[in-house]
Amino acid sequence: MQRIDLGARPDWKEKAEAAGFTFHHMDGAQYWDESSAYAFTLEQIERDLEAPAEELHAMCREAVAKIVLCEDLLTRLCIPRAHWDLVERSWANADPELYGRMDFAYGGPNHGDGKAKLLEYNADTPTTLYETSGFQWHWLEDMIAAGRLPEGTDQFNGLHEALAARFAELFPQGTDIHFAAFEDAVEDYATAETIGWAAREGGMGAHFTDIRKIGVTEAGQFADSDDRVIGTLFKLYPWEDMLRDDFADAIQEAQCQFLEPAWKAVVSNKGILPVLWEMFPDHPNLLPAVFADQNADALGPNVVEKPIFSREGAGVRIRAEGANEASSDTSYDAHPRILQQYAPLPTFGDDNTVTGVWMVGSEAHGLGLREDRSLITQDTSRFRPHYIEA
Amino acid sequence: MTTRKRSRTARVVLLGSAAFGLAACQPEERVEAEVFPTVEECQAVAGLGDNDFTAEDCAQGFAEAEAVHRESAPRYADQDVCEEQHGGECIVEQRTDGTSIFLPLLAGYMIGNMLGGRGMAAQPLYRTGAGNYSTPGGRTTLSGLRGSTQVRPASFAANPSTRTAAPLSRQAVQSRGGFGASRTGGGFGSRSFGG
Repeated sequence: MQRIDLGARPDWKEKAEAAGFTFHHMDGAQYWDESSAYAFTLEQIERDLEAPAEELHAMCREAVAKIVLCEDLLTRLCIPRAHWDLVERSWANADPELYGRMDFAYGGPNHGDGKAKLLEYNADTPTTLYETSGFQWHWLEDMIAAGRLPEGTDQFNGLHEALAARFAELFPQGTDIHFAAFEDAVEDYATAETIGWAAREGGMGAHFTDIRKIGVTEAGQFADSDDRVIGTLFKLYPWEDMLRDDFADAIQEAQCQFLEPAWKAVVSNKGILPVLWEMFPDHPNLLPAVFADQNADALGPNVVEKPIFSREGAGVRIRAEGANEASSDTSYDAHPRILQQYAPLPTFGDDNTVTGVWMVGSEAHGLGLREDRSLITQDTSRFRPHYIEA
Repeated sequence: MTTRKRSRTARVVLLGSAAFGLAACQPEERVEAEVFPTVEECQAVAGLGDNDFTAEDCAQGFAEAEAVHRESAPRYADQDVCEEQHGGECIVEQRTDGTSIFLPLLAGYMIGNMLGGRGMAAQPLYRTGAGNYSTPGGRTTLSGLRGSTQVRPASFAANPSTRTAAPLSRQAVQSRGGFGASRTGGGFGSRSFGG
């Protein structure tokens, strides 16, 4: 894994605007940055990232089977007691998963022990999907067409096809699927839209509704902003929040299939990390982790503290030799925490890079890289494209 | 042959270009449809001029539209809501449990050739609150009750039964806004609520 200064396409901004990718700058800072790109060998992709991600996904499923039947763990993961049954039943019914993103500390053979270390699994509401599956894909096409990367250069990015195929596998042709997000959150809307396109490609009907406009009918079903009953709902809104909303009690009887299913509430929860470590100690792709009230001796002196529900780095605190940093976002501070052994991110220039591997179903299908000068990756961290050397 | 790790389809996902719509079919797809207020009006013009439907098609289509009406007509618990949605008269239907529900009158029907040579199909039409005519569930709206038109093939797709609630049927909504209040993260300008 190397960062190569290829130089940006001269017209990338126009292309972004033309594609509707309006958030290439955020809060005045550049978000999409193709001035350099990450180069991987095929072996690094397949051996170091793809295979471990699929193995970890299977391990997470084993952990779910255990957690949903364990009151102590459901309590530790802050799943509201009233909804334990909902979560357990979604697992027992084998409600299928659609997608997720595992974030790794990985830097190739010259970084640490060369193994990708799972930092967290955003298995419920991962965003940056458009950048990964769409704009990054076109970047590579353009770079090859311009002769700036050789023919045969590849990219770990089968996401669009895999998502379309997953929809076709899960639902009868023509199934109406609702996509709910906060309409005014451009990144979230872009992710929902990208998946909506894939759903249509897979033969589904796709309909958008703002999460806040969802209603409950007299028959107890959910309905969209136009009163149309929702049979299948993709929601870019975390389960931990849904289970605390006023409509939480309506979910069980709503005859609605959710994407992601309710059992993902325990996968995207950072409480799964200590459970995984206990079930699979010394696994090369896991970092030692415990709940904050447990004995942390096994973690060593360098530790990261994470709220179990945090996203985009919020509430994360690093206490390590030469690396003390705390997120300024304290919105998750009320939640319980886990402690995880600190795994430094690889650095490229002044930047620290986190490697996101995308899952569709139980298979790994794509890669997106974010970098930040801060040690903690945040929602404004830059996105850079990658390629696999020909 | 070498394997390739990225998508083959170069489908350009254009953000903001209607990934979400009522039907997943392409806009250029259209089929011919004939619209009539009654079976008699249909039979009066059957076989005339360019019309390629017969009196028999008229009768069969009307019978089909009536059958769809019985199964999938918009059904309302409240007469006022029904009348407001359909610009006037609604008829009452007794359910087996003794409750009354309200259906709009069948204002007319349309017949058309389905794609792929699967023969003739029919749909009932109801008056809308805005003075147009629509198929059950509002899939297709027409401005008038007479003549030839072109509609999306999905206009003839099967309708969900309204005897039991089903996706995309319209249902009276009791309350809204019960999702979205509990979010912890995000919330600043364009910031993401996902991760």
